[in-house]
Amino acid sequence: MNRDNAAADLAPTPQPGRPAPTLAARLALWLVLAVVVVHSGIVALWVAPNNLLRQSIGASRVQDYILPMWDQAWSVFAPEADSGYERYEVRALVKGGGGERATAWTPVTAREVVASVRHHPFPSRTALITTRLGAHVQRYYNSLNGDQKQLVADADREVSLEELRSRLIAAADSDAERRRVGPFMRAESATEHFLSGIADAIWGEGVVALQFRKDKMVVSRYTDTDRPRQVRVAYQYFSNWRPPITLTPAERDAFAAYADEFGIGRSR
Amino acid sequence: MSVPQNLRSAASNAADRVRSFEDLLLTTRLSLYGVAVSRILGALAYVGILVTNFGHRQILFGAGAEWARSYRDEYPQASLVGLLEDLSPLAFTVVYLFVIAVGVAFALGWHSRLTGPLLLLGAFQILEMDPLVSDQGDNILRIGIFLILLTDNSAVWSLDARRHRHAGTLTGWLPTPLLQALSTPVARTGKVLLHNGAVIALAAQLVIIYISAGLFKAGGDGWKFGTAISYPLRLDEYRVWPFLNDLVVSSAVGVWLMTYVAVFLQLYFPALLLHRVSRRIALAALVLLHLGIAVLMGLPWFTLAMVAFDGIFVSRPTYEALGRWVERRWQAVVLPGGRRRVRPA
Repeated sequence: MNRDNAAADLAPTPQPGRPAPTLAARLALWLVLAVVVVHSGIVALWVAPNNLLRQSIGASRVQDYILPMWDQAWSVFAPEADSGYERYEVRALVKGGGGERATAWTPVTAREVVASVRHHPFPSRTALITTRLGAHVQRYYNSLNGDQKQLVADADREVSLEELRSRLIAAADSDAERRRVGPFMRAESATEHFLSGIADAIWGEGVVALQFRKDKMVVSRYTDTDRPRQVRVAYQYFSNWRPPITLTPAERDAFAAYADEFGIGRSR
Repeated sequence: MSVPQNLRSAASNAADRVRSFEDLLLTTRLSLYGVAVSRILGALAYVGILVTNFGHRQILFGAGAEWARSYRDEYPQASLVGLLEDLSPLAFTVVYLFVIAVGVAFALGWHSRLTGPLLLLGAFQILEMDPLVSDQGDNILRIGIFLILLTDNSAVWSLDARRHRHAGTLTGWLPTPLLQALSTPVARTGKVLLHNGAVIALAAQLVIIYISAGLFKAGGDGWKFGTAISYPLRLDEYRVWPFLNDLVVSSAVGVWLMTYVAVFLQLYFPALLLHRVSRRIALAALVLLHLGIAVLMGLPWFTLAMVAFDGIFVSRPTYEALGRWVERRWQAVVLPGGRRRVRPA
């Protein structure tokens, strides 16, 4: 019969000297296939947008399985492709000559991005640091309530990061608002730490406080052909004067070398 | 023929098919060349990331990356990392160079059962020191290389394979009793089963990636209107060769076409895999798409990581033909007397 021939074609080439698979092997095969199917199903549920099935199973159960090993997210350049990037500028209050003086604003992200990306077919990941920090700070700052935003604006050089965190938590009106403090402080403390390193590389030990502001470059709509390629959106975020983070000697070396690359460090 | 007989024959046919499906998965290692290609390209992606960030290793991942602590302490992978915390800059550099060396060894298939796990562990520990600047390429590398480690990834196109050919048997750093245990029929079947399970899981993982990436895009206005790719291409962040990006976005029809191809290719990728011809077209288009991302957006390692594992969908005859072609070229270049060696008198 034709069908039998077709089935024979599907059969693997017989391997001389090897016995046919045992029943135990066949059962093991189906067990492995079941594991693969269940695993892939959970991964698919994790990757998918929020949906009824995931909620029915329990989002936290899915998360318990996925994290940390199978963590992934594929909304890459979606639903909307990246069309803007945040840029930090920093300045410092420097001790000297019997008083304190404010330095000029120094662009950090603008130099970082252009110096690391343009004509570099293999860009360094440093190109992403301050622009991603800026995006995170902005996103989580926007999620704070009015009182919390005011506390951030009022946090001057006397207010440590720990103090700011406890003030923000105290000003939260609900559990949901309390939970938003963590992501904001994560981004804010990394930003202050990183920019303290940059400030140390530029102005050295005399820095008693630093301040940062942030603008955004946004790509024009493709159909607006008469507008420039990128448009600058003015300062969206202005910090108060903040206390610099204390750095280890190894950190100071790393930041000095880094800032020198972009021509913003003191030449040593 | 009476009806019951027909039914019985259909049932026995179905049973035969299930049986030969079982035999196939218990005796034949699927995509043996594909996993070797994934090993080579995946390892090179890790090596590429580490080499091109070498100059900034301290500020990104080492003693200068204290600023990223708030991120690494809170990220999902935090429980698995931290082996490199508190290393001196010099010790960190030594570890970093060692992981690069291990990556090159794994790409070459040199003692891959040892170098593979070391590469995964080392690269993961380094990159997760700074989760802020990681991308999805890191995720697919971690997942993909882990699954590749469960396969017989150095059976072909590796120094291990060459050594085994010369020695005629399994050798290496494993103690002899363990080697003997690994060559029993039960262990052999177990290894084939593990290999095939991992290959199927990897294939499913890739299908999930492409479908979901396509679906997420289909929900966005820029993708629907056909202008989406023009936005990152005009952003400083992604402009490695500004004139090239400007050239690519200069044609409205071209922008629309590339945007739509990107969405549909991802969305229909699994369906296109089903037929030999459409599979070749889909894979070629996908490689071109990723090549475009690599060059125009400056994301070479993300791209290589994505392409590396697509290699499992290419069939064995294609790889064998490719292997023969490379071998001919190689001999023509390397051997004295050039082509004469290939065609003996």
